[in-house]
Amino acid sequence: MSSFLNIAAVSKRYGDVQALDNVSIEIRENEFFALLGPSGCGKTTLLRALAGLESLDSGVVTLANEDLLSVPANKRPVNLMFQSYALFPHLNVYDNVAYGLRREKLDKVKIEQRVGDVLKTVGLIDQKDRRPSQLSGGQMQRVALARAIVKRPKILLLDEPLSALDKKVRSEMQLELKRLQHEAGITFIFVTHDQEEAMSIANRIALMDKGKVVQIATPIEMYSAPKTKFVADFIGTSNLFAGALASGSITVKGKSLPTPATQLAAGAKAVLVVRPEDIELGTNGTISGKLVSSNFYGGSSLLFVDCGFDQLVKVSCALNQVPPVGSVCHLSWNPSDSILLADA
Amino acid sequence: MSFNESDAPFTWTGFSTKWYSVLVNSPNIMEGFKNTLIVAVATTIISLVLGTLLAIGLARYQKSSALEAVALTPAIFPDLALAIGLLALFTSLHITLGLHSVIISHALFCMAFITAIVRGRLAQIDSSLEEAAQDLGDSPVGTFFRVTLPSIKPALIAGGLLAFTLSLDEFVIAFFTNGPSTPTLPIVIYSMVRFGVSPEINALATVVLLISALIVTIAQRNVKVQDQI
Repeated sequence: MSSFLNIAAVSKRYGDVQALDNVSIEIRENEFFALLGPSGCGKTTLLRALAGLESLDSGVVTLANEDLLSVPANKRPVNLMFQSYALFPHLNVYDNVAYGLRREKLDKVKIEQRVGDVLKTVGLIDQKDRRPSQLSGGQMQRVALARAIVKRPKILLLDEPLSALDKKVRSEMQLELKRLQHEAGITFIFVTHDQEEAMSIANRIALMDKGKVVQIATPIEMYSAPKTKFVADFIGTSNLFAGALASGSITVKGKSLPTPATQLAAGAKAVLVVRPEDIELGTNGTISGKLVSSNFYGGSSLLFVDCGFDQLVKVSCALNQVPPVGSVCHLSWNPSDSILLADA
Repeated sequence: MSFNESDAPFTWTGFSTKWYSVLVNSPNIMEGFKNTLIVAVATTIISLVLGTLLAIGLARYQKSSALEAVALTPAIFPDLALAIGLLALFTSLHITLGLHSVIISHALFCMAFITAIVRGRLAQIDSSLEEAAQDLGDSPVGTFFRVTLPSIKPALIAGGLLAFTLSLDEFVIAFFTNGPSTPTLPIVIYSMVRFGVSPEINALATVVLLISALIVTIAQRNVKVQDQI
């Protein structure tokens, strides 16, 4: 599929801070795209620039081959769902949702029908006469969503849409967002700092750090083939062993660990990434150490083993195999399951 | 006291409302009352418009604490200094004195109060509301009337009524900047009191007090109702 929204080499600087540094992303039509990164990485700035609420210093953005940046915010076929929801406190749910359609000067019957439809979709038709202050957090979030999608934008931008909700409501809303995106057939771009959230609902993710795009990939690619140490560390749980590369192994704190096949030259500084679920407990292993603690996560436990490295080694383990705390664990893994990355 | 039958203002001889009819039938007082109302209404409108625009400018466009301090000086400046300064200004600009000069002067110091009140309200409301309106396709002007104005409505009502009552019984500035032919009520009262306190002044004071109290009550209620939304 060809690219729908094309962000090419955009930059933005606030005083000393480079908020966006030569960012290029191509987003496809009907995609559920996540901008992921730690706070201050520039993801919200990019989103606001797409909505027209922030200007860019340089770069080009085209939507369906037409320039987007020269269009003022109120004329863009793009809607933003604000992190604070930004519902109008003096208007009820119905009028909040109808606000955008009324500005399009649609006739009354049509507005009534479209607002009614979208309120039914988000399950708030019975609350249409309430004020935002009379709604729960989840309901306000759905009003904000309804208000944005009722305009039938080409792209819906969502700024940390689920951050204000508690965990249970959040996972329900994640499903609902996915369903809505599918039904409405709108391209969603959503900003989050929560990697689990991005992994579970996005088709593709752009991971950003300090104003730069580090990697653009599907969640599975990003998890199994991280491009840099930052990606490996940010996405999922992982063990990072930094050291000097020898042939077929890496030396970390005097210990030699096996490595997968690599292009990197011997002697180079490198990081070996091993996911907790790839490590096995056995009678003899590559490394061994004392079990410091184990955290229970429903189906499995995460063990923390002190093998003499800077950080405790994390090992995922089935419930009935958790050894007692303090006992010695022998850890091993298949080198081809681990990932070797150059260390900057 | 105003319901006292006696001619002497401080001795009680029986209940009467006759001083109220004296009040209504006194052309001097009614003229002053009319002038005061004109000044108060005009002051309220002018200071509301200018004060609100100033507050929005300070809150959204020009974030300067020095400018903010200057905007508030008329409210804390001594009335007398303001009055003399304004009189000097009007004279040097060859502006004739009359109700219009009183209105300009009152609007100047009431504007400072309104700016302070509206500025406080603007600081409370989420600026992403205005961004949301634009995002939904509204023009900047439409956003102002449909989102900004309704959000600051309680502040406008409170500020407007405050300006009205401030202007209603303001004496010093009105005394200095007014012309001789159009006295406002406080000036009329002052000139009457110079010849002794007469019972109709008691009646007049009661009327002015009631109007002020009524307006303050309305203002309070309105702010409360708005805050519940």
